[in-house]
Amino acid sequence: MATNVSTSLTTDDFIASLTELARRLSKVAETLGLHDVAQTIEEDRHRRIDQGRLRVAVIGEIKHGKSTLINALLGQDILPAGVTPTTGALVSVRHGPESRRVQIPATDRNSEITLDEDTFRVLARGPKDDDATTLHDTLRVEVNDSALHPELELIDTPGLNDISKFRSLVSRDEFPRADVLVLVLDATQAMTKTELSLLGEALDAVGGLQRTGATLEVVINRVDLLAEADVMTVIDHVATKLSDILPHRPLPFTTNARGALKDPDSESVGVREVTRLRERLAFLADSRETLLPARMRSALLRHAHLLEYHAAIHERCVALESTQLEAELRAIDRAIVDDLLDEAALHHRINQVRERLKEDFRASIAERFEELALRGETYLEEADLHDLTDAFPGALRTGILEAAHQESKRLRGALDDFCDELIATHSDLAYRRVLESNLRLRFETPPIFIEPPSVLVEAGSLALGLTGTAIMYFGGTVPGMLMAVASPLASMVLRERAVKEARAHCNERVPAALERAQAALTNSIELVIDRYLHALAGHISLARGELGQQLQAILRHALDAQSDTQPSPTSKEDAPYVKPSRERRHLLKEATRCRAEVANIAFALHALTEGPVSTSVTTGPRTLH
Amino acid sequence: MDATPNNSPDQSDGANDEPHVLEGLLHRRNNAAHKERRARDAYAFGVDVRRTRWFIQHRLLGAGLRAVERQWKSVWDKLQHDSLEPEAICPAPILRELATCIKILGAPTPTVSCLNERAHLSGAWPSVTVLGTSHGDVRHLLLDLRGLQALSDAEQRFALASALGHLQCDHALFFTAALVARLEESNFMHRGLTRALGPGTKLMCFSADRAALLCGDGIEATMEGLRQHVAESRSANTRWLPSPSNYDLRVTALKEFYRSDVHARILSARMVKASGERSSNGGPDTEPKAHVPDDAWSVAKVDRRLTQRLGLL
Repeated sequence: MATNVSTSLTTDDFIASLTELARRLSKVAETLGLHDVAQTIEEDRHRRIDQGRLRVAVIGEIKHGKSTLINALLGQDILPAGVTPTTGALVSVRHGPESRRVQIPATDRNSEITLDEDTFRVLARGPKDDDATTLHDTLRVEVNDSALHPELELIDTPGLNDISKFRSLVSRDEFPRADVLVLVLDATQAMTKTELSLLGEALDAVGGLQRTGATLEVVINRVDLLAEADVMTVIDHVATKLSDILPHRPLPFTTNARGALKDPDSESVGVREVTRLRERLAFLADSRETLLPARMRSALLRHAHLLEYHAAIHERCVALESTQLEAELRAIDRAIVDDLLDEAALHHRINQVRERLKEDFRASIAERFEELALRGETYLEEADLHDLTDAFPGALRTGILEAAHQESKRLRGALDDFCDELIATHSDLAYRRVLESNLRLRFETPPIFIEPPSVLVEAGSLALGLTGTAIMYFGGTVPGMLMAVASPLASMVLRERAVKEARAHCNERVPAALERAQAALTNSIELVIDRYLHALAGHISLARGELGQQLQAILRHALDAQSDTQPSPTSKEDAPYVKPSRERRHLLKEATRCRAEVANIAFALHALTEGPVSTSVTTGPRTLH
Repeated sequence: MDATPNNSPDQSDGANDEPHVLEGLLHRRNNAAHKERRARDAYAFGVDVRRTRWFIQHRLLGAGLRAVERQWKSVWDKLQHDSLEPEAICPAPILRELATCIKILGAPTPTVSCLNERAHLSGAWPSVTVLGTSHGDVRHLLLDLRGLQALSDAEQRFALASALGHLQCDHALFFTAALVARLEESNFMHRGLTRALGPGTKLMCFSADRAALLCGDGIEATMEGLRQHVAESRSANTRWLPSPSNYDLRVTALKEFYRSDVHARILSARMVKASGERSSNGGPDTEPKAHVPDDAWSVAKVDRRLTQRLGLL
């Protein structure tokens, strides 16, 4: 059932709705076998709603001074910073009762290992090899200092252009969970193309900046390396570049983090800007009541969209025979081992196939219609009046719709094959899209109208009939005999004229009608291709590099569930068709229910567009829970 | 009944993978038309079907109707210019609803167009209007989307199903004749033709009401739709439409058809299908059989009673 939500909810009701939807979404993720997603949803809900803590992700390319900036904001040298890239793991800095450093293993996010400073500094550099498990361990620094707002959590990330793909992935993973993005640029090479593209990716991951509660702060660091006259030029350059992708022109902070760390009392612009950034973050933390519920809704919506795609795959998987399911699972395992599920590479392949598919279908549709037109032209020469005005237009329409059906069937196969080739499995999304587009074509294809015989033919036939009747009653033998000869001749002439007229109408209207129908079918097919590939790209982006693991989990979960419901081998051999067992049908029903549930949650989240009727800004901070 | 017209691409799975041979298409089109006629004869009011056929084949009236057909192109062009929304996209739920009704009735597939804002505000169009000719599969449904959205589910289903009933019973040309008479008020021939067709077109509503009952969710829901439909047709602006029989007669006729074996069979088949779907989703294993009560009336009996009540023949 969809949750009925009003756009005029109070803050408490809004948060209660979000909490309930998060619980339902987490349950759906568990049903699909995606325990990590379920845990992430639950953790985010706990942090944003129960704890009310704002997560600030400091992102940027390597050696732009991200760690130094955090140190400057804290006023102490806590994070390792140096000439070579120093941050290789995710480091979170937050307020605590006492200053300490801990490690949170990726395998058990509830446990903590206390670290001494030296070990921490070593771990913060990250492991030397690309060990994905160790890389996903999080380091946490707790500080008992008034410089850090108690409700802020600063996240230091590895450089986004790190030579290690896994380190870069760790940073990207952080995007969707962030509430505030602090983009750190280097004043001497600010806003490169790569940075612009990375920022686009980060904004996409947080759901954009409009009505999502997400905030972006742009920091141009190391301004001390610029001549004073150049600072404004760089600010203008950055703001201009960013105004293309942001809803408003940003006002960047021009900081000198290293200088602020060495001499916090300096009056230089770079140091004052660090103080201004600290105050800005504190202000955002004070506004967390307004920001966090909106962030929560946006993050849940993102999870809901991801789970919608996964639920569709799950629904198809539980209906598959176990051998086919095992084959798909093996293909996914292979793809993960061979590193074929790289996000950028998948997007590249999607873009490549788009035009190829469109071109292929354009040619095939043109061929079909050409043939239809040719057959129609030949048929017109021998058709009689009834066929021309009645049967022929109907048959042509049937032919058009059949061409649409055949092409759609082929398209569905092509899209499913491509999806299999790309991610080693597929859902029934192509089928649904094709079905919807066929439904439209079926009702929107205009009929071909061929006019009935002209008034002259009509009047002639009528006159002939009346004259014949009059002569039959009142005429003599001679007029009767004349009529007997003249009537069939006149009828034949009139009929021939009617056929000629109808043929002329057909020749005039059929090519134009076929042309229109061909254009409509081509548009419809191209629209399906675009929408399907867009959805596929969306699915890949939403999974954020975890696609392989998530698909693996879904298929394995479906396989495990099926293994309990398979008919015994003996009964399978005995009967050519084995009716699905009650458990199996229950499984299918659960999959359908799960898909409907996640769609309902997404719908309910969309309905919460206006957010809470908040009074927090004017009445001051309050506890979220 | 429940015949599937094979000009629907999503339902003619595997029908013909060969290149298009026109003779084959003609044969399939004729087949589909035959199935549609058989499906219609199973539920439609017999007198209405016969009169419609008679009107179209009559030497004089037929000539008049062909004169209307000759006007079709200009009428359609005028409609597209004045009253239709060229870019409007009919919502998928309405199209799905139509597809369901078509499946139940075995009706032909119409071309769906949407009215524009001006046509909606004029109040001259009902929520669903049937238009077309008697030849060449020209069958149109004009939907007033705003009007349809204001209706309840039962009313919406009634409007769509009864329109499909009209199309299946070849009434579209009579609606076109009425529209032509409205557009060319000064033309006495068209007005005369509409008047001459009057006694026949009064009966059209009985077949359409039956179609709505077959597609609807029970007699109460259909009555709800009928009430709304009558209210719509009583509006001063929609007087140009062929006037239906009076409300009480329609209610009685519907109630009698409700007792017919055709209705029982269709209803039962729908229930079996629904329970079959439930069963495949984990419901009980035993599937209920289609059931027609022993005391169900034949359609001939229902027709006879209606004919007597109308004082026909």
